[in-house]
This record gives sequence, C-alpha cells and structure tokens, in this order.
Amino acid sequence: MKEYRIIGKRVPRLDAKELVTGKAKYSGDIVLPMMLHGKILRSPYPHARILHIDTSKAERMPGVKAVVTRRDVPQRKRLHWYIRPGKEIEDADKVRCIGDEVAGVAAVDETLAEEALGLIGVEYEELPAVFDPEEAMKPGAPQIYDDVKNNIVIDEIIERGDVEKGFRDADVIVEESFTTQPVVHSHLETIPTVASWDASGKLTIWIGSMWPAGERADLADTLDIPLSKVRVINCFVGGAFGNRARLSCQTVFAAVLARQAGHPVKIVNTREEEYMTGPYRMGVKFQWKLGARRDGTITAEHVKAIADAGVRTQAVCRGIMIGMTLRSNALYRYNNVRWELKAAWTNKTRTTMFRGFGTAQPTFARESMMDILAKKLGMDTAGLKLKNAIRTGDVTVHGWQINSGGLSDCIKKTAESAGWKEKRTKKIPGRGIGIASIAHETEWRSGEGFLGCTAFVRILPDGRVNVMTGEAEYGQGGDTACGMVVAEELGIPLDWVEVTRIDTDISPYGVGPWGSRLLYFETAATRLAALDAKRQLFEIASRMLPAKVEDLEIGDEKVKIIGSSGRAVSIAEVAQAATYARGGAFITGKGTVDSDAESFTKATKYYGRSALATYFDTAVAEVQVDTETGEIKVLNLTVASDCGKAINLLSLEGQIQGATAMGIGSKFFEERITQEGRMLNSTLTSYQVPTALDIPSIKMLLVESMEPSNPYGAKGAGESTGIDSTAPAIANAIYDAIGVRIKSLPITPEKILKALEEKRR
Amino acid sequence: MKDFEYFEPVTLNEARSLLIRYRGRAKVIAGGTDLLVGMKQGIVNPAYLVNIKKIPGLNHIDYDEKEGFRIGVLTTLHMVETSLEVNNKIGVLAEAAHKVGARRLRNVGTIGGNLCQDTKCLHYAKTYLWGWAPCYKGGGDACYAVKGAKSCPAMAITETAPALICLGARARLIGPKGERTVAIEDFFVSAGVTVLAEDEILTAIEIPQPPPHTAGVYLKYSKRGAIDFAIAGAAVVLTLQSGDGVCSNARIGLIGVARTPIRARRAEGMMRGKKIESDLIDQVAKSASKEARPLGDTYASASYRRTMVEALVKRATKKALAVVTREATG
Repeated sequence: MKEYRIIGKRVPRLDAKELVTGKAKYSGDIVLPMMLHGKILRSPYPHARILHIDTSKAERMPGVKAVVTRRDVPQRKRLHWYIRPGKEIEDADKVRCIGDEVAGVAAVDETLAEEALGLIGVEYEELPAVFDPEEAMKPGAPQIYDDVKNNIVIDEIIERGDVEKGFRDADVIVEESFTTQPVVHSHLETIPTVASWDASGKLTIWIGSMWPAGERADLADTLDIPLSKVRVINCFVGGAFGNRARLSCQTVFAAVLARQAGHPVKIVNTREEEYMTGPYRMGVKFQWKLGARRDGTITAEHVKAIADAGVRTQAVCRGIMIGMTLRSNALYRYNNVRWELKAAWTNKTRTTMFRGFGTAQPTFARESMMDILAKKLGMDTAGLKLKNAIRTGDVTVHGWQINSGGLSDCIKKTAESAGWKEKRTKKIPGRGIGIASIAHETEWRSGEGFLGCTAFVRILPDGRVNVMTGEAEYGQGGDTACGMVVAEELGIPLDWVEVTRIDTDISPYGVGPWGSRLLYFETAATRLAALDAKRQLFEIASRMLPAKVEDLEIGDEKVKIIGSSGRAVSIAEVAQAATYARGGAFITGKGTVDSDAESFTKATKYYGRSALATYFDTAVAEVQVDTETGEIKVLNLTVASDCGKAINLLSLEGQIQGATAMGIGSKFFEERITQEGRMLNSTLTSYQVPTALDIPSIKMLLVESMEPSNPYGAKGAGESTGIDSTAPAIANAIYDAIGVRIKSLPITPEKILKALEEKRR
Repeated sequence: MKDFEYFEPVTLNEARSLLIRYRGRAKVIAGGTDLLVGMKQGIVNPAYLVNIKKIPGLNHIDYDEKEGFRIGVLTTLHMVETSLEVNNKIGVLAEAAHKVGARRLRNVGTIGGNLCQDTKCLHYAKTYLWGWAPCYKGGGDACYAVKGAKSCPAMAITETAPALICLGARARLIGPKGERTVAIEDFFVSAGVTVLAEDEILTAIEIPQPPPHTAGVYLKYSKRGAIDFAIAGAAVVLTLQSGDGVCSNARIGLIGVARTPIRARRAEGMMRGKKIESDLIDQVAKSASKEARPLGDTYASASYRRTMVEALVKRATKKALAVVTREATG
C-alpha cells in the first residue's frame, strides 16, 4: 500500500476551530439591514379543500409588511424530480396533509408575524383522508390525487433467477414479517432560510443545503426567473442527514415574501414545526422468506415490502424502494430473488431521503433473518454470513460489479475483536451478542448526463492554495478531504489550503451528494485539479530556475530540482511570478471526473452496473437485558468499516460514531408517532434522540479493501457505516440473551416485556 | 409568549403584597425551569411575574439534631443533591434531587419549584398555532395524545416529592393570615395544583430527624439515561426496630403513575410490624403497583407504568433493607 504524507492520517477538520468556538455562521445567523421575519400558516387538516382565504386583517396589522397565500406562490413548473413533478405546492386550493403551507406573513419581528397568522381567516371543506398505505391502495379509498388511481406510488416486481426452483432446492425455509418505523432526521439546527432581492431582480438565498446547485435550479424554475438571477450562498449546515437536499417550500415562501415586501426575509422553523410538518424516513413493512441448503448456501429470497410514502414524495420513494432491493442484494451471493415493492400515498406529511436511503429498513429484516436462518440450520450466524458473503470479483444478482469486497474481513475482524465465539457459546444470564452487516453503493446512476465532479485549485500569489468544488460540505468532512488531497499532491502543508464553501455565483456546478458519492468523486477531481495546477507551477518555475519541468519536485515549500539541494525557488515566488506573467490570473488547475456507471431504468429491469463501488460494514453488539424492566443496555459495540481506503481516519471515526449513535436512536427511542396524520411527539422531549449517556463506547475497526476505481482506493463510509447494522445486531443480541425476537422498531422495554410474557405462555 | 410585567421584590412582605394586588393573574418565579416552559407553550399565561430570588434568607439548608432539616425554598436542586448533611442523614432526598433533569437544570431549579411543578404532557403541541381546539392542558376539552381521554392524561413528575413524603416532610407557607405548615403528603391537590393559595408563598421545607435505623432509596425509570421525566419513580423509606430487625415504619412514595405524587399505603402497611423478607417484598411491590393510578400514553402504557412500579418498589425496598440492616446490625 502506498505511503502518504497526509492522506490516511488523523487530521482535524479544516473548519473544526470555527465549529467548536461557535464562530461558524449558519444561515440562521445571517442578519441583513431591514430584514423581516416570516412565518407560515399551515393546514390544520390532513385533507381539505380551501374555500376562501381572507388576509385583509393580517395585512392591516401594524408591523406586517407582506402577506402571501398559496395562490401567490407561482404555480408554473413547480418543483422536484423527487416529488410528483410540478407538485410541491400542488394545487392552490387543496391541502393534503397537516402542515401544508397555506399562507405566509413577513413582519418586523417573529412574534408579530406569528400573531398575524392568527388574523388570517381560512375556510376549509374537510375531505376524507387515509393514513395507512394498505388502506390507501384499496379500491374506494380516498383519492389523494385525482389522476392517480388507488394512491399507488410504486407497484413493481424485481426478479432474477428462478425463485420457485430456489425454494424447491432449499433444505430449510424461514419466513417472518418485520416493521420499521418512521424516523425524523432531528438535525440540531432547524432549517433557516434568508432571501433577499436586489434592484436588478436577482435573488440571493442564504441557506444550509446538501445541494446548493439544485436549490438554485429549482428556485429559478419555480419562480420562473433565469438561473443566473439566483445566487445560493451555502452557510454552515447544522446537520442534514438527507433532509436538506432539495428546495423546501419554506424557501419559496421566503423568496416570494421578500419580493412582495421589498425587504429581505428570514424564516426559521421552530422544532415543533419541523417535526409536525417536516419530512422523515418512511416506515416499511416486510414479509421476508429465505431458503437455504443444509450447508448454509442461500438458494432463494422472496421479499414483499409495503411502504407509507406520506404525501407527494414520488421519485424518492421509488428510488428508495428499488435502491433497497439492489443494495440489500449486494451483501450476499444470491441467485434467485424476487422483491415485490409497493408504496402508497397517505395523508401524512411527506417522507424523504434519510441517511442510508433505504438501507435501514431491509437491513433490520434481512440481518434478523440471517440469524433466524442460522438458528434453524444449527449454524453460527457469523459463519453463515461468511459462507454467503459477496467477494471481490463477484457480480451481484442485480449486476453490480464488486471490485473491492471487504465484507468477509469485516465479519472476521469484528467477530474476533468482540470475542464472538466465546461469548456466543459461554452464556451469562441476560447477556447476548449479535452480528449484522450492510452493503451500500458509492454513486449510482439513475439517469443520464454528467454525474461526476469538477474541482478548481488556485495557487494564490503568496503560495497558499484555494480549492473549490461544486459539492457542499454539510458535516461529512468532504472539504477537509479535498484539502488533504491538494496538500498531498502539491507537497505543501495542509494549513496552506483553504476550501471555499459553495456560492453558486463562483463555485462550479455540482450534481449533489447522492449514494455516498462525494468523497469518491471529490478526491478524484481535486487530485486532477491539483496535478494541473502543479504542472502550471512547474512550467513557470522551469523558466525561473531554469530547469526541465520533468526534473522538478516540491519540497520544503519550494520548487526544486530533483536530487539537487542547491537550486530552488519558493512556491510563493513562482506563484507571484505566474500571476504577474498572466496579467493577474492566478494559477488555476481544473479537474473533472465523470461516472461511467450504467443507468438503471425500468426498461433494463434495473439490472446493470449502476453502482461504481460498494462499501460494507459489520457491527457486533453485546447487550445486557433486564428481564424485570425490559431495559436493554448495550455493553459493547464493535463496528468494522470497509471504506476502501480511509482518507481521513479522524473524520471516518467521527462519522461512524455519529452514525452509530443515530442507529441507536432509531433502534431504541425514535418513532414518529401519528394519529390521523398529526404527529403526537413533536418536541425533543417526546421525540427522543439519544444523548451521550445513551451511547456506549464504540470500537472501530478498519478494513481497507482499496477500491481500484478511485486513485486513493476510497469508496464511501459516512452515510451508512454503523447506523443501520447496529439495529439488527442489537436485535440479534437480544435474541441471544433472552430468546425473544423483536420484529418491529423501535425496540422498547415495553415490547421486550410483552415478548417475554408471550414466550412464557 | 404573552407579554407580562415583571417584579423583583426584596422582602417576603413585598412579594406577598404583589400577589395580593394581582391575585390570580400573578405567578411566583424562582428558577423558572418549569414555569417558563409552560409560558412558552402557552399553557400558563400570567400577566405578572413575581421573582422571589432576590429575597434573602430563602436559600439555605439548616440541620439540627433535634429539629431535623429546614431547607429554604430557593435552595437549588444541585445544592440539595450535594449537601453533605442531606446525603448523610436523608440520602433518599439527595438521590431524588440528583435525578431531576440535567445538571444545568439542577443548577437553577429550586426544591420549592420542583414541588410546585406542573404535570407534564410529552405530547403537548401549540394547538393555537395549528388551528386546533385547545387540549385539556391548554385549557380546552380535547386530548390529542390519548384517543378518548376524558381528562388530561399527564402524570405528576415532581421528582423530590416521593422522598419528602416518605420522610414525613412539611411545607412552610406564608400568606396574608400568617404562616402555616402542611404535610408534603397533603400538599398536592390535583394535577399541577397544590394547596398554595394565590396569595401564599412556599418558604421552606421542614424534614424531621429520621429515627435510628432508618434508610431510604429513590429509584426512577425513564427511557434515556438522563434528562427525561420519569415513567415511574419510587421512594422507599424503612425503619427497623433495633435488635429484632422488625419493621417499625415503612413509607412508599410514587410519581409518574398518578396525577399527583402518591403514597402506596396498603403496601406500606404490609411491612409494618413484620420482618421483611423476599416473599413479602414481592407482595409489597405488587400491592404498590395496584395502588398506582397511571394513565397510559404513547410514551408508556398504563400497564407498563404499573410493571415499573412493581420493579422499582421491589428494588428500592431491597436496597433500603440492605442498608438499614447493615446499620442496625453493625
């Protein structure tokens, strides 16, 4: 393995000081002269027709500067590939879930704006609503969209091989049902937007987004103004986890209110608003059937999945359902699989992407099933997993090529480190150990066109370096990774490098962070940009020294002749000379990489090399269960990550710890509980996310399988490592401890006690 | 939050006259950790706030071997949990104070405020912002948390109450007609309501010196490791006769399982005059769980809360017994 100077080391994030000192500026910190505060009036009903809106009283209230309604928000093209095309604010006169935006007010302060909302009179006609996807799919159910029969978002079957024959060949067949719950992102920062128009009709938005280029395009489209008339400045992002990837309705309202008021407008959600109306990860019900031969070889898998999409979400829901199929089947060597995928709209607020994009749901079911199958076969679960694990050189049942398959090593390493064999055989009452794994793609292609990354590396006259890519830093550490690559390739100290946050007026276009793709592409693109800049630097230096370009190297902050200790010129001198020689233009290196993955489509039945690389993890959890109270204590957690190559070990550890903590939250505490479309636990007191006290210490193990398609061997990691394998690892550990299997999330003490009681009967 | 007028009296008399002047529209504030939340949620909307924190002489823990403890109303929960005297003589109260919320809350939250704490509905939403009819908690007659609830299902979560009830503590109140004391056990009237009249101020908690061979334990169950309100909490205080180890007095206080803190009297009675053994403890715990009057919500069902009472009372009794037996015998 190549030895690097910076890459692979434990490096504090470039923005760490800003973050920990509280100096980092989030969009909520932005204050502009004459800025107003906006508030949104939302639908109290899950399904209703708006008969009349009277804003006159609110408009007359002193301090109120603008009042707009749904009808003032442009109805033209509307938003999003990921919701019903053109349907974010679908109809001016219909609301389809509690929280749908009805009107907006901008006033001189937030309290006034909130008060003014109370003065808006809205007359509704309530419509019948439906809250359960299976109910929604039945004939005669309330129709949420006039043009969609039975509220169906997706009803497809993905099938490979011969599933019937596979089950006939099986010596053992197991079948169970599982339910995963809706979970909210719960990022620390509730989403703030600031919108401001200049005299030329140009809109500037301060926001914390996962995809600023997308926000810009969507805003231009929605407001029907040229792309060049929208500038998105991406501030620090207080957590995203999939929820801040596309334009929100709140941003559109801020823009429209600001235009009407003639002053900048800031809208910040309260936590209650965020929870009550905000998107979340959809819950899925599974019926899972697995067949295997006596030796453990899996012969067939048949999965039926039914998801509750909430309102509106379309492409994302389809993507998640198809993605969970392709991804789940990238973990083991399957030959015969059938996945029946169904999802329906209901009158609940919309679902969206959530860290993992459909990894959590099937992982809980599949990895529980592997434990069940192992028990039935009389095999060790880790052994069963190893027997079927996908390996380097394999092609998955759906056509993904595995060029770096570290899954087996992940299983072996975690099992060994956690004392699996010994703990699995020597039983302590109430104590158990469980294992589970995930596979996740790095970049996948679901459409045509550019799907890579572009980076610019500029060497400034003082020799310091500025890096720009089109992709946002939203907590995952991508900017630091880019800085490390540039410092590595240019042979300069890391603190000479600065990475500019996204400003769509100056940053290159970015295609967004889908499918754990950023690190993989950003490192490749910034490397090319750094090499390009270095070439230009050497050209100038070769004239200054003079020497041949191919004889030059960088060392001790200088450009020097390889092997010679005498002749050298400092990087700053060369950069300054270059800048002057070019009439003020800085040395600018450009790097672009694109994806050659095959696009998965319905026409190809989703078969093909749609993912460029696949990363893996394995988690082993040890728990102690209190059978009197049902309490579960996680004693130890061991997580192995096959990330290809760790670019920044410290970032990787941080990501995995954060992800695992999130996994523990959705395992034990979190559930978006609704009643007739109304969220019941809409505060942080009742929607419980784990605190530091609830997270055990996590032991991280590294498996570097070196992905050949990335120059450094990197794949992805941060999105899915630790978060989704934790749940089934704990569930399996609970079974190991007390012999009851919990098949619905979250696993609460109450469920444990109930299951124990049923077992006793 | 509604606008309000704010006062900082420096004497009890001044405070009292403000309460009399604005009778019914004023609220006493000290740490504010409970009241301010209620005000932000729109549950309580006082027109006047009377901050008693500037009044001297209300922030103290006095101990006297004869008289026992006198704890000023403004004493923070952190002071209570860290007081050497409290830990040594009435450790059960230190344990309870320690389990209130997070450290930052305990730094400002007072023992008086804790006793006057409102019941907590975890499902409360600002109905007025959403265009819904107000719920019971918000002064209306609907419940969005529990379908068909006839009244607010929120439970009392006054964490220090069970310990104080078990210790036989009394609240000292001052009002227009002078001072009076009320047993903590009788302090709670109904959900979020105490015996305090609108023009009365709680000034101190008096706790008698526990008899020899007495030990108490407070246990709480909540989903997360810290900061959560109790799903159930139980304090058990036992006094044994010296020599034969027979239980001469037993008290059990519960929270999270009724609209006010309660005593499990039948369960207590089962231990009095008996030698406490494992079988008896099981029966006591079962009885306490029957005496609890929990209402369920999505946070914890009624039956789970009862189960937790059983487990907590069992464990607290065993623990207290172990301590007191060790003391009595050695």
